[in-house]
Amino acid sequence: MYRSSGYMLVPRLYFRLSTFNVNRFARRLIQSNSTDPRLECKFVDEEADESRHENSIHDVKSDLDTVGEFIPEDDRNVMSQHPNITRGKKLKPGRANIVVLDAKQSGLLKQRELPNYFKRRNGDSRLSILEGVELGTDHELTRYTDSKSLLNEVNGTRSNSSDVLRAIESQRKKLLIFKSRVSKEQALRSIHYQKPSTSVLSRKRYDQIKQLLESAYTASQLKTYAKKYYNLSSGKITKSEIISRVINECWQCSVSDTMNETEDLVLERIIDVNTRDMYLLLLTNNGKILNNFARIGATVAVALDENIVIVRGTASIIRYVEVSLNKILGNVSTLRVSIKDIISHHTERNSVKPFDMEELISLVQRESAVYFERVSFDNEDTGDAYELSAFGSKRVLNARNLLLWGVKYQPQLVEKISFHCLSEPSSFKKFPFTNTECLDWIDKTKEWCRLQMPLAKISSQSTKSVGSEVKMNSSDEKLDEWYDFLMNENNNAKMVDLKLDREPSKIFSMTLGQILRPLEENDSNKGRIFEPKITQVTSKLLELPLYDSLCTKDELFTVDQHEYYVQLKFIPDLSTFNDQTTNAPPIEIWFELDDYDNAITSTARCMVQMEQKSLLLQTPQLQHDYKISTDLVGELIQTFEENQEDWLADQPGIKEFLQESHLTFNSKKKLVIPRSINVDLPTKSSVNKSAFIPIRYDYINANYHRVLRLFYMDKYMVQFSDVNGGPLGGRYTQVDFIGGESLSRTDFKRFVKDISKCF
Amino acid sequence: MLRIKGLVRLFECRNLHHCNVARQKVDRPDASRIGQANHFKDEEDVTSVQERALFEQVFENIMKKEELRKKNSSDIFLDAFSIDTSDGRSENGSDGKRLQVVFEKKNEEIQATDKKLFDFFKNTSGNSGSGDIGESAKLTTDDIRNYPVSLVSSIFADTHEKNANETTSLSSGKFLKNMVESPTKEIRFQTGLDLRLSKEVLKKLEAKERFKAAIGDVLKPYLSLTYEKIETDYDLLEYVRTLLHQYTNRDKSSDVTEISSPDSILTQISEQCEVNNKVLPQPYRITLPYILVNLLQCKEFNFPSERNYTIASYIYRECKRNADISLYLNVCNVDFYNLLLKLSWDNFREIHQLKQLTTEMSINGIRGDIHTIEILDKVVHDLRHLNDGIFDEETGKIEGNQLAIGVVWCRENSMDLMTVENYLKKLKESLI
Repeated sequence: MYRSSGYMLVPRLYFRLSTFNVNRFARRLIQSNSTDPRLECKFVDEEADESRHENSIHDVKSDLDTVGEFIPEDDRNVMSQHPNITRGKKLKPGRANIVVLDAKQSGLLKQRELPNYFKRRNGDSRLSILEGVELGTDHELTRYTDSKSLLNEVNGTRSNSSDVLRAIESQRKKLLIFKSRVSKEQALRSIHYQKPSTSVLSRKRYDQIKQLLESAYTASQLKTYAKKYYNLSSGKITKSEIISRVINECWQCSVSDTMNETEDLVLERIIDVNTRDMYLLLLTNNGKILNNFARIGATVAVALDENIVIVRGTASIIRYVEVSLNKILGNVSTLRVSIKDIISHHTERNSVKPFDMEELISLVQRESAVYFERVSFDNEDTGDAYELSAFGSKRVLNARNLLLWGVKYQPQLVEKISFHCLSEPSSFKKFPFTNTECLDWIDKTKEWCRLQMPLAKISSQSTKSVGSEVKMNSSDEKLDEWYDFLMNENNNAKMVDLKLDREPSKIFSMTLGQILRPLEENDSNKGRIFEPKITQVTSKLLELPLYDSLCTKDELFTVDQHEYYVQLKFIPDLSTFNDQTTNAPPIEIWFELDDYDNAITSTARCMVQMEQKSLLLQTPQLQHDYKISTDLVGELIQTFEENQEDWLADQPGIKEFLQESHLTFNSKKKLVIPRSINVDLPTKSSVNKSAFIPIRYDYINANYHRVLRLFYMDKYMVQFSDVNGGPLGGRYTQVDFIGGESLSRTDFKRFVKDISKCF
Repeated sequence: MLRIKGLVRLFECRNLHHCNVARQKVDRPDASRIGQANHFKDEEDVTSVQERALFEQVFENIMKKEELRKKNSSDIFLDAFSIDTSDGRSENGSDGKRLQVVFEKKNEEIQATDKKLFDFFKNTSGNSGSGDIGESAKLTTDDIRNYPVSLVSSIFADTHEKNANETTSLSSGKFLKNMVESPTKEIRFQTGLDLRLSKEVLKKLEAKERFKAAIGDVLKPYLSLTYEKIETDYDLLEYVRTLLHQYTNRDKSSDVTEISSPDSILTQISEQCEVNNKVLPQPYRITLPYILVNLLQCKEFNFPSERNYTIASYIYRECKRNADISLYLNVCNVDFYNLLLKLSWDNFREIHQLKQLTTEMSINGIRGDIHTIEILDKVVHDLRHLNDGIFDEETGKIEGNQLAIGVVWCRENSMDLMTVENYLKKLKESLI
């Protein structure tokens, strides 16, 4: 009987001995239930699954209740610890729990193949509207709290007044269309578009076409059409006659009564959307969602001015599109933040740098497919509160992350540009720099150029260019001046005094690169950036010996000579820093990577960037410019080797960070990096006794470094690194010459001369 | 493939979170700051230039609209009801035309002759499985509602908004066909490679080379004057800039005219050259790409490779950023990409860059030609020999700098090299 109906009843057996397990399982299920991301973002095809899931929870819950009922009050505590102790009492069998399986689940029915229509061409997953669109999980956002900057959260609900206005606006525009201007050619062409793709039509569809030709075109248009496209001359005939001739003779259509009109009758539906939803639909993965609708056969048009989406397709398709659109738009994640607060908490104190918030917001919007909307409350003056919305909370949180990145917190950095060339500045021209994949998302959108000396053409007869032979000649006074800057220049931004186990020393280095300036701007030194990827250097470098060339020749061929690192960057949230007058230094955590691109946790090194001075030498007569810098970098934690017993005992925040993160950079696995880290900064207090100040750091970005160490002139280490910051961070190569620690004046001069001699 | 991965990842992370949450809730109440980060190794989704330009435009439009709304945010009611002001504004504005973004299914059948090419692009665009090359939305000022409801698709298949993509591909195709048939002077085309190409391919190739040579001939007066005018590489850069400018400001009405035969175009060009050899002769879509590649390759200047790269890369970026997609489609043809491939290898020696370029070519529907094979073959050969350290039988020595051999080897490079090799293989197959 059951078989014939396709259902089967399976009584749930109650195993006494497994109570403990069930209990534990249930507890986990119940706990996870409240935060289960799947319950918060359901999609059409999952609902069935979901309800089953919930059912099973209820079942187990009721199991627990029945167990609980027969145990004396004071024994329950014991029970909860040792749930399988029943003290010899016989338990009443629990309610027979019944699970209803359908034919497919019971395995009676062979799984039916999906019709080819729904299959991907060579994949096995079903065509989904969200194909290629990655949504984050929502619990991440709802549980995310940001001390002050997060005002409150809104999910799905929105202020209504502006919605009403938008609706009015869109209606008004709709109503104000009086006529359409269609040329004759266009009319003919549009008649031709009416031609159905199949020649067998349902009755309704046939009538639809007929009525359409009747209402939309004049008889003469139809006649011209028949003449032009089918060479069908029609004499004096009525409009209805020409219509049936066009349909029956030209297009050779016939009516089939067996055909259902839902299969081919085409309908139109206009859906009102607000700007936010329109923005998200169009710009998330370049309109992937709407494109997916188009792939199942709907024609979707979005009228930007009117805030509407026009959907055309058969009835079932329209229904599907409507339902999915509702589902998708219902899942928009929203975060309300005060951007001003976010920015000011991550901007150095006493900073004089001008900062354009609007520009940053528009940049982030462009990059992240997140819609920013200024929100206002009736009773508060919150000019800087914004609502960030996107499909999936991951996008919203990434946008927040980009805001922090865009602040460019660098209080440790002092930079100076020195123009180093004997020729007149007017003899140089601006050459565009267009290798934008080297730049990060902030600089990528701007136009850059480098000053260069134009080269005269050389006809094929004469010898090679002499331009590349020019070298930088630096006088002694210049070198003195540079050394003084690097050693003595003071930093305006006051940095907190740190007391580290090991006093760091200044490292001198020289980097090759190009000094870029914005194309439009004139000679002010603002907005310059140093870009380290240069042409024609690889082959020159590869002639140098390896820095530690201990390996044999055989090994040269078989062993990868590169070292692989990953660098995580953090900046402090100054609102968590009590000292109001000083700045906290940015920190970086570096890991070595193993052969499968997993970070080796025990190699973690936490670098504090205490001071960095860069002298940018602009040398337009050469192929590239130089950067000479001194870095004062301290190490916050001991290495694992130094203290294996209780490593990181003094930095519980970092320890926690390492435990929580999952640092695999192999793109097949999931990378988890906590968004913030708690660090105890060891500072020198007034009595010169060290004290730990807790402070929260926010994660900014990660860079992948592939480093090759070479040896130059048997003295200097050369680091040839390939740096990859992902799609946002840019990808470039960099050549650094390391001069050594705390160079004396003479050593410094020799270092600069040695490097500029050959490079 | 990419998309499947995305989906799988989506489910994976849901499930993982599901478990994580259970654990974290017990252990640590403060699990909120855990976030999933982006892999830096995830390649940015390579999108076709057309698609990128389109959505850039959509973005600008929405932003502009928002801007207007914000201006009046003090009195939003006024904005909504004052028909005069808002209408006047949108009508006068440059984007007053009511823009619509249309997504529809393309059901154009792929002809058997194009199948091979289509497969080639599909296999090499690094996006296999999606099969939707060229599937993209359209931005149009035509109101879809002016068209009858029963129209499902291909509404704007060939609207008066000329589809630059089609015109160019059409034009070059037609040219080739005509050239194959036209009995102009014979020019022998010699390949330096031992590749047995199909007769048809060879014929087309010959025709193309012949046409190029013919253009070079008729443009001689113009070219020689240009060579004289340019003294430094900066002059060349400036000159290129004006040429591109000239193209974008051209008289667009001539774009849609019937494609005339190659012979008549050649006579048209030579007539213009005789009248005035100071300006670039029309039609730009034929002359501009030729001139640009010629200027960057010619023997008259001999600028160092890095300077040429600067200019080529500048042209490349300008084309990609220009709102007029036809600039990219016309200028960045196979010849230009070949030049770019060569210059980037000369200057950076990065296989990754070549990989990016070839992928981009396929995504944008540009198939490599015999010169592409030549360039890539050399690169791959060099790198393979570096990688494997093959002994030269005759000299008994390992080719190249011994140290460099071991030094450049690393995982990423060999992965990228494999991709390029695969591209090369597929390219050869599609040409044979």
